[in-house]
Amino acid sequence: MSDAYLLSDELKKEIDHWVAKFPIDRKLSAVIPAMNMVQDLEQHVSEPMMDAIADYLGVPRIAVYEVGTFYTMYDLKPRGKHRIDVCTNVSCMLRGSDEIMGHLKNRLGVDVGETSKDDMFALRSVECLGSCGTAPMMQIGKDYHENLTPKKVDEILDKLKGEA
Amino acid sequence: MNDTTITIDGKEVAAEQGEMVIEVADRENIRIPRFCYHKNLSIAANCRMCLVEVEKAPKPLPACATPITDGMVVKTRSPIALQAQKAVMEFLLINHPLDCPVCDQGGECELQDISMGYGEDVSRYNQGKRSVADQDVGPLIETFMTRCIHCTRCVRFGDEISGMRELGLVNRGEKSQITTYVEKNIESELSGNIIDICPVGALTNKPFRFKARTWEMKQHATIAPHDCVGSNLMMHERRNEVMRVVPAENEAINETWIADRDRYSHFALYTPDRVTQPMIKVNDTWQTVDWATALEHTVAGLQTVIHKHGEKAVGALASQSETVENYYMFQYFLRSLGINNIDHRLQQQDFSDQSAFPAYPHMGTTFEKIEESDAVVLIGSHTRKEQPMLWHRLHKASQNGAKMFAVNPVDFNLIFAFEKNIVPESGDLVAGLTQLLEHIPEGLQSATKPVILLGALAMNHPQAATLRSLAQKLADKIGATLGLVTSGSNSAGAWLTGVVPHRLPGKQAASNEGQDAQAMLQDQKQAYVLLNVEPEFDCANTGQALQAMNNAEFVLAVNTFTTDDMLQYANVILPAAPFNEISGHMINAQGDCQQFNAAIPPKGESRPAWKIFRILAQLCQIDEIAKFMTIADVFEAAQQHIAEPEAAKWTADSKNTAPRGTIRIAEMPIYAIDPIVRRAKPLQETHDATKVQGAHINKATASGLQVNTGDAVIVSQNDNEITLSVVINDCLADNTVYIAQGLAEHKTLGAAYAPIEIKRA
Ligand code: SF4
Ligand code: FES
Ligand code: FES
Repeated sequence: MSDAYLLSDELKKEIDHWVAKFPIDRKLSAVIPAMNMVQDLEQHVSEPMMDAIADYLGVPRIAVYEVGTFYTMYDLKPRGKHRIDVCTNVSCMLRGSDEIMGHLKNRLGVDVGETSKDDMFALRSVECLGSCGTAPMMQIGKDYHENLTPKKVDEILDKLKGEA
Repeated sequence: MNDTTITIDGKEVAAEQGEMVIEVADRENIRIPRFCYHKNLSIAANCRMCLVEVEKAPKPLPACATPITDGMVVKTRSPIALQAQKAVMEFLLINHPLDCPVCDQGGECELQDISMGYGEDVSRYNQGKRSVADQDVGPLIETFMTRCIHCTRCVRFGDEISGMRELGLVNRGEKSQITTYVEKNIESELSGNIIDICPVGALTNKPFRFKARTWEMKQHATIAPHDCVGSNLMMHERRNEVMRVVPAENEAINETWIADRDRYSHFALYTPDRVTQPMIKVNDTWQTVDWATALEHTVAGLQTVIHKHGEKAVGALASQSETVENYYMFQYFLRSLGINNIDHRLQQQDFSDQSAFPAYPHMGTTFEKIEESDAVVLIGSHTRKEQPMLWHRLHKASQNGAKMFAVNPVDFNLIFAFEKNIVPESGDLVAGLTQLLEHIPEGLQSATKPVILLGALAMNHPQAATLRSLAQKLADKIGATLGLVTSGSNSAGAWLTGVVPHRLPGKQAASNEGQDAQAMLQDQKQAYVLLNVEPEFDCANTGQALQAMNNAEFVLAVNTFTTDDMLQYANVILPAAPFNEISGHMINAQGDCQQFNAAIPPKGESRPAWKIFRILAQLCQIDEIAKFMTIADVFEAAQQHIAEPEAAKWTADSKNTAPRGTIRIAEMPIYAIDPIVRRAKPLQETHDATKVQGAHINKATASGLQVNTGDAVIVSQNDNEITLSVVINDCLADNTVYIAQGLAEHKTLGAAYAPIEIKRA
């Protein structure tokens, strides 16, 4: 059974656009752009959506799960409005990511991998985000926040709270 | 070729450009440790176990992914190589549980062996190890994923060999794991091979689990008896009991793989309905007797019928998977008594061109050559389930760029791309093939090495002769090789030894032509002789066959198993030893005559069928029988008739007309194909076995009948009604109902491609 119908026509058109950029037998190459689009649109990529992408592209479903689980930029379940990914890899760790993480946990009242009760903030630790020169850092949504201090973290969170 | 030389461990060896270091080393018997490399899979180079030192390279290189260059100097045992191998070994063992004593792979584990050979003896790692949850992937394969070392052989197998990517490597880094991700059964008909290629105990044989250790078993080479590929097997036996089956390597036939059917069928060998003692029916009660009594009873029974009704009143049916020796003595005994109604073509319905058959039906090409063809046309062939290993070759052909075409009664799940897949209405394959012939697609027209194969669904069609002559026309037009892919493992042997009513051994026309498998059931006989046939499962028209058996005065079954019906209709049951308990020869679709020996002695009082017919002949005072003292004598007599494959020329048309109206489509499903497979419990638990139950119809037919999936319908053929539940399956054409053959619930129904009535219950 194909689940491709879950994709909107607009999305399908976008996917076609990407498919056209690769050789005909390299449909797998379009998985990442398709996943990006769904993530942007729905703030997560559910299992049915991964199946839909696989079926639409005619690639094995497991191949899409592999991509989805490999990259931290895809959330496979809804996680909350602001998804905070704190880098805890070597450079950030040496520059104090433990302190940043501890501060976030205190302030939000959640543990790593959890979401605050009001669904506003989700906290997670991730591997190097390629911003070692400005460590410690975290990513919230699409934005990088660099050279963090607990104070800076507070300001960022206050601002996000204010927006909501 | 061999234009290059390289030096490995001081030995100068010839190599070919493009070869990897590990391939050359393997050929020279220089052992390099490896986990991810497998010669029949693509190269992943992810385990790093094969690191070797290459002169002038700054660091050790993976032998499996390093192409040779002229004059290369490789050292597999130098201090640098050894140090690298030790280090990789240590990393691999960081997360691997050291639970070999309770692991089924213990004793035949590549990781265990290689860590003995290349690792340290003590672990320096005393931190916690990771663990990974197991998954239930079905009745054939057991998982223990904590043991996985992520070599991805199983993943590549799915991608490249089975054509179904069911397993994948999800997550990353330390969290990586091999999984189906969503909990589901592995469904490929070749799935068991991942047990063999998994270098550790992560994927093991589920029904064999904890049954035996490798060093307790002896292995015996044998041949798979379920399809015309004739895969080479190793049978592992402990104290005369078959414990498991694994592939034996033969690049020309099954490479390093076997189908699940060949791997798990042996579980049937010890079912309670196995006959191990001669049995006779006296006054409607069965008695277990000694051989002498049973044989006497048999001869008396047969002779009474012959005296009363003549030789023409006896019909003899043999299975399609007997050895050459069994076939030869079967027909020898019967013909000596003047019985000419002899056949093995149990499923076929059209015999009109039987005298135009070549010495034996064959594929017209070889398994290896098929990979090189640039276009393949399948006519009436569910190859994937009929001959899984042949399907694998077709898959490879398609990977090599061959264009694929099919004319089939059902839109089977073909897994890889077909240019054209014709599924004609009412299962009218003649119409479908005519359509292809009239509009030959470009890709087929321009092919330079096309192959046309007719499978079981065409062979068993009521217009099989017409299909053959149409296929011939197509072959002539496009210059294709035309071949037949027969059911059973030795239909070739049956033809060559004269287990057909119109020919004696060696293609000699019989002066007294007997009746074919259909005619001798349609035209009630007074006696039947069965050789590993269960007519209510194995014949084309099972309802009719059952009736014929029930109405006969005398039925002799020389069988490995009994059925409930057989206990009703048979008068004597003589225990024939199954394939693994006998020696003999079988001839596969490409014409290889393969010899094999008994893996274990016959169970109980079972005997090889050829011996049973020999002694019967002796008791019937057939003079010449004395010359068949040993199996070698029988084979010698048969061997002179074993010919090279000859080309056929099909021109005849069938006398039967095209089926009209609502037609039953039927096939012998992969796990109902013969008496052994039907009793193999692990196979019966698979999706392939359960999904063929019920009456399958497409949406249009269903809405016409106002039924939905799960509703009951009454179907009738042969004036017999049965109630089945509906499965809506859009792989079916209009006006067709798929009801599998070979299933107990369907036995009273009639033939495939025959009209069927279906109505709401
Ligand atoms: S399960 Fe076995 S074959 Fe598959 S990746 Fe793990 S170790 Fe390799
Ligand atoms: S280690 Fe944190 S961004 Fe690279
Ligand atoms: S065998 Fe060479 S890297 Fe695995």
